[in-house]
Amino acid sequence: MIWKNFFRDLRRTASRLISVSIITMIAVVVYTGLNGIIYNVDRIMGRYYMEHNVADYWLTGVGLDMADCRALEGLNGITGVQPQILLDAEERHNSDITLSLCGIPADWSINTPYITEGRLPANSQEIFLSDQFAQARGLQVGDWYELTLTGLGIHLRLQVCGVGKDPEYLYPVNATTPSPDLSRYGFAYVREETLQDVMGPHIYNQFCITTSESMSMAQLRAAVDDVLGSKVVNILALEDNQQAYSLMEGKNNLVPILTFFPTLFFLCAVLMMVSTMNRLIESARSDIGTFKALGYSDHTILVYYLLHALLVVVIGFPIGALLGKYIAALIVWTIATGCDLPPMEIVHDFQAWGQAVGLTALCCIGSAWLVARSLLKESPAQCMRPKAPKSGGSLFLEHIRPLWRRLGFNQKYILRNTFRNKVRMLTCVVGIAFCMALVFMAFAIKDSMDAYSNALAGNQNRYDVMVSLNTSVTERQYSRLVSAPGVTGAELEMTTTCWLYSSSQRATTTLTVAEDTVSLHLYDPYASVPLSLPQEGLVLEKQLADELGLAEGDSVTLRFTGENGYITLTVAEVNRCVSGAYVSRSLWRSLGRAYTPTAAYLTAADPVALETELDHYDFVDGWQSRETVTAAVVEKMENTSMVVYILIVFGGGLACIVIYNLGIMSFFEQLRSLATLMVLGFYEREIKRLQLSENLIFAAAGILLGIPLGIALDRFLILSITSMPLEVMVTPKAIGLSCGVTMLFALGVNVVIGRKMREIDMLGALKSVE
Amino acid sequence: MQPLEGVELVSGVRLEHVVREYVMGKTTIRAVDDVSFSIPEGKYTIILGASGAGKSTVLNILGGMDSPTSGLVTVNDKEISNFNKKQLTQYRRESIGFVFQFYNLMPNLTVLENVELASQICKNPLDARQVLDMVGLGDRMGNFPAQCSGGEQQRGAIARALAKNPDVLLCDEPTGALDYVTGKAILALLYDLCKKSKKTVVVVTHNGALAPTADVLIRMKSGKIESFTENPNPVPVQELEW
Repeated sequence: MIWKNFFRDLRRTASRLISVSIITMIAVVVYTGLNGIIYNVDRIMGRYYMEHNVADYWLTGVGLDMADCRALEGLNGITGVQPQILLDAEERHNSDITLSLCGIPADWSINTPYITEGRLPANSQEIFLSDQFAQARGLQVGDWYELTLTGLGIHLRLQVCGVGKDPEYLYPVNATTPSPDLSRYGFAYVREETLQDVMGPHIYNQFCITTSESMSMAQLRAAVDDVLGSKVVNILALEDNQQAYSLMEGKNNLVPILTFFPTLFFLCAVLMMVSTMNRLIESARSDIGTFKALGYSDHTILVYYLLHALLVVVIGFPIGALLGKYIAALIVWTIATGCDLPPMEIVHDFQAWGQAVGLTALCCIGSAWLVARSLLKESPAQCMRPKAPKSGGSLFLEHIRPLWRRLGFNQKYILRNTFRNKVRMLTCVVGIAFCMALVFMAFAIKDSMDAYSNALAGNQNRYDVMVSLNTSVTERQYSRLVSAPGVTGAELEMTTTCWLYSSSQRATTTLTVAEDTVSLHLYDPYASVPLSLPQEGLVLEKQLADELGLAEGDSVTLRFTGENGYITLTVAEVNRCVSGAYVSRSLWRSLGRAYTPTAAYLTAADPVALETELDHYDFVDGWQSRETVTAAVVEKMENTSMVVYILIVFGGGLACIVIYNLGIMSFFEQLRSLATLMVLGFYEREIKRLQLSENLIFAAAGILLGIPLGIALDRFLILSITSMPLEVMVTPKAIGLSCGVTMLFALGVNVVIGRKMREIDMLGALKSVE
Repeated sequence: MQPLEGVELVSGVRLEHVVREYVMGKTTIRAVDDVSFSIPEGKYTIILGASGAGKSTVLNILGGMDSPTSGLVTVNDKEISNFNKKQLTQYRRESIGFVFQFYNLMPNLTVLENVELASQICKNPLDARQVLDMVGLGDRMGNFPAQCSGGEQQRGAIARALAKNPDVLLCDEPTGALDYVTGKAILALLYDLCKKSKKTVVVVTHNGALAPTADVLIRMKSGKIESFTENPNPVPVQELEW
């Protein structure tokens, strides 16, 4: 019979159990969903990289041969080296269509492609193409395709033997295509014999290297430096290879958000679970007394109430966990926009499931167990008696006589009611503050990302055309470019790689040699004025400075790949926004270094005419308009914003349910008072004003507390995101929106509870002992 | 019964063929079955009956907390049986004082504020302090309910009901939660109030020993009126022993 009572009991407590189940569900959705993103991207990319044996490093060099290859293979920690020839090509008679053309050896084993149709090239007359590029160009297996090697004038006519995808070109971008467009830029593989006329037999310009996990990048660079010396132009790690690592990088950028938010959601949900189970069981103390008096064992009664908690887990967890996969899928697909991936499947992250079920069970069942056990320790008689009320006391405000006297009766009633039950007040205020902070954070992060996106798109790039220059450009050539017809402003930039040494650490980085005063391509996107580079030292990226243990004023030593000389400079500035290190052109010249710019930023009265003019310069590798560059940046940022939008929706949803839960709990606790007011003849609107004002006071207090809490949490999160130099943005808009949303929820909940008041059974509520 | 037929009641309480049914699933329970009686104004009335006799249902209908399924209910010329929800609220607000078995004082208000809670919504309320003095709580006004004994809380509840200056004071087992001595004191208080203020007081109880104290005694059984007695010489509560 006790179990029959259990089911009847469920009907009585249904609204509270459902609301706490929904809170559990939201926490589980967010936890499993966001963790699922990390899990799925790691799983998809890990498997893709492993199945196609993706290189850990790409070594670009001059005159690399098989002896170099074998020398590298013999090094400790290197597990594989594959030589290849990498060239730029374009469709014959259509220079707008470009390709990365790769000549591979017969024993191709690293960066092998995923074959959609056909097979790999078997002879020097065959070509393997990107499937989407082939489709866009209307090419099928068996068709003949003509291309020209860029800058070399060599024409090739090859038969398409297969099409597919390659993890090396997961996110196919190059100097002229900053965001993927496989109808304009693709990749192709041919046998190395096809290209042997370019460099000579068995001479290569790139090695793909795989290493053991124990080998660090610094160790590899040092070892390669020893073996190949000046033959090495650049070494690119997988983590730095945008084309191959884009999806992983997209995920890594989000990791702080993906780990921080679920924790917050869970904390909030835990607070609610504990308080709800606590209040639910506490309200059943007389039932517990009755069961005990009837002779039911403590064990049976404990199970009886633990089942309530278990029910919350059983309802909330599976729905949340199942939905989590779809949230993960939505975000993975969003951040994978532009990535050329084989068919992939998003799966459940069962590890996150395990953690989530453990946490929810611990919170729900644990809190129920604690409360029920403490009640079971009391005698049946004690349980059946109402809990001794706290002795009445005066509010602090009552001691301020002039103020208290001025308050009307209703205001006194509301204040007394609000502040007398401190546990309820604290739970409500903290719960609402948490939700407010969550909603605020989501809006604030969105603001920070928008500000960064706007800075990149609207502030950082002030040129009309960005020109990529040939690595062998001469002073006469670039001087010709900057004084070309129609050019109204020009700034040059040179990038190279170098080693940086501090007293205890070393690292490789990109060193950018910029003009003494930079105004067309700001290295700090938030800068409002042209930036003058320090003449006495370099500007260092904050993350890199931390890695090397350097601060402003410290000395840092530079060494360039293939050289034995060292240069010591002062760290003049540590900047969160720069990438790598920056020095001024004057300082660079004063060091006696050769200046070979790799890019030029130009402004022009007629940019379109300038682009046409650029066709006449053979030292120009390519160019992009500012619009193309910024559109690519904005597109990438928008993908990341999707995660924040989802968090806003869930943060809002959680806030709504939490406020509803708190409101409904207070409603049930005050049922007797409400019924008394009804019997006394208070009108519905008067009762609402008296009782529901409390919810609004809690909401207002929660909102006020939530603002500093949200700002603090936002600051913590923004500063922990190192992949993007986001700035902490506390805008009136974000504060206003989050306050508005939270207050709207509070008002909405009041409407719902107001309707519930009509269902109060006055007689039933007042009949029993309090 | 029921000195009703042919009686022209100007003021007081009158029930005519009142029926109250509750539908629970497929079962219909008739809690009040064709009840008719009238109570003249200013009479101390006791409705007596065992549990389930329907006495509380009658009291709730009189108090505007429930409506009859059929029949007419008139209180001081107002026919309340056809009142809508809002009219019933107004009726409770202005005409009725209700005293419960379990006091139902607001825990967060002092005794005085509990009384003011009721008096502030009426048209002609009595002074809250005077009423509290009258019920013997003059020195406990600033106390919260939790700081008062059961008897004091019930006095507070009576004061709250009285402060509204109602036409009818309805008391549902007002001594049910009190000990013998305190209960007796509360009943004496109700009787005195009835006599001094000329208000109609209706007390519901299952304690048959209280029957001699009533001006009007209504006995109920199984939802029907078993007997209706007018007692011209009621016994003061203080003289009763049970």
